[in-house]
Amino acid sequence: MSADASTSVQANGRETQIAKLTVYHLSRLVFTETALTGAQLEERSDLEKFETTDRARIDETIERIDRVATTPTSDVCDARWGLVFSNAAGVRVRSFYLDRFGTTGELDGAPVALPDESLIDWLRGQYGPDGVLS
Amino acid sequence: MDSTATPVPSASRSADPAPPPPAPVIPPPSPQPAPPVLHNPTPAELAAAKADNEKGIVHGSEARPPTDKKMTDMLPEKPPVKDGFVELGNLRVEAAKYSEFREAMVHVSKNPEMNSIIERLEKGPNKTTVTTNEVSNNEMVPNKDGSAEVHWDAKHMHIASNDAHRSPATRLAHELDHADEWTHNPQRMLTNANTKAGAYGNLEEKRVITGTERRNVKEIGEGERHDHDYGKGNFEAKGVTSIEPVLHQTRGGVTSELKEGYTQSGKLTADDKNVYQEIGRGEKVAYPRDEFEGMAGGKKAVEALVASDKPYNVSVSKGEFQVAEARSPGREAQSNVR
Repeated sequence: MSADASTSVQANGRETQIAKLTVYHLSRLVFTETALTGAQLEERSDLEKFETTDRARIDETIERIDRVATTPTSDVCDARWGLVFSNAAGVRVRSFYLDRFGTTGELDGAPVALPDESLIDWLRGQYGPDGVLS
Repeated sequence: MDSTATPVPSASRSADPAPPPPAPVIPPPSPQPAPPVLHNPTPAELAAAKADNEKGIVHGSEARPPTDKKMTDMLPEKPPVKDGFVELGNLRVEAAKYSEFREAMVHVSKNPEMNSIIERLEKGPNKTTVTTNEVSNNEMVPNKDGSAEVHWDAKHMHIASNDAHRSPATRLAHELDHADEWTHNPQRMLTNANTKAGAYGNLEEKRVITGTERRNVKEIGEGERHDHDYGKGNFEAKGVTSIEPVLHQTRGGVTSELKEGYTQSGKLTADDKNVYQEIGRGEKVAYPRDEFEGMAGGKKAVEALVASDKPYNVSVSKGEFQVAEARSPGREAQSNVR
């Protein structure tokens, strides 16, 4: 997928240019009493949060997401990772949340299953430490 | 006051011949030991946990060994306070909510193994600290030094996806079970936390939900959930041990919340008695269903809500209740609620 194509997405029927990526990460060893929704994840104060407007980084992240063959699922995503893409006006145009295993997610509001852990492995390498308590 | 001091009952008994109650015995805090030496679970350990889970074996879900200690003895009514915390050995509880903590623990100790969990936390090698909030933040956070933090909302109950009602007390007990595991079996906890377990998310959640929590709710008459989902959400409870949600009924009823001309977006659900509306931060408000149905258009709208779990735009216009499916489902629609 080309850079131009990947950063231009259809949102609410209109083509929108992605300008910013925000990555959220919460330790997989925080044991919440019920699964965390994406919205609840973003509201936490103990998150690791990373923001970038670097075009190449945004492109690569979108490409990695698009490379994964997601399928619809009824499983609930207990969110530990969040990828939120915004346009220049700061309006979110895409979001992708992943659970601690990287095999259940929520893509633009729809629960999805991922076939393997390749995406979360890549995310850990790019955006997060990978230790016993991360 | 020194946390190790033992309160001395009054010696005055000229008017009342009844003997004074025995002074509570509060174990002193233990010195903090070296952090536990842990490793990331090996593929073999993960494979073994997965295989056992498939055979129906969840290690650590069995009841703790019994103790002869009683909750009311271990948790004195008026313990000494130091720096804003009640210190019961290595169990520290935010003093401002200690009475609620105690009420909750005495309630769930109808399952005797909760006595064991409290004793194990008090005598454990590392500190467990309980702090409170009112934003439905119930969780256990393990620290690398071996200590544990429990965050508890004493105000909100939970209704699970199968309609199981669970009190704030049950939610606290759930987190204390995690804290006990981190204190006494941290390596097993790491393995379980990294093992998938279907509707429970991971094996550590399954261990608690199908173990202590299930035995607790059976003893105290609460609902039994079968997953770890957010479910129907968090509701203000009538009390720490209550499974009844407070119904927010302002003077104007439903229309005082859904003001004329104002559109509220978000997911609404309903059961026989109530309509539930998300109000952000994981909280919902429960309205009497008959109020909704008494408004023009209300009965039809509630039927639509019950039939779908999609986000809706809800408004009141000229006294008529209106509802329409939100055009942008999912995250965007939810964010409008906050």
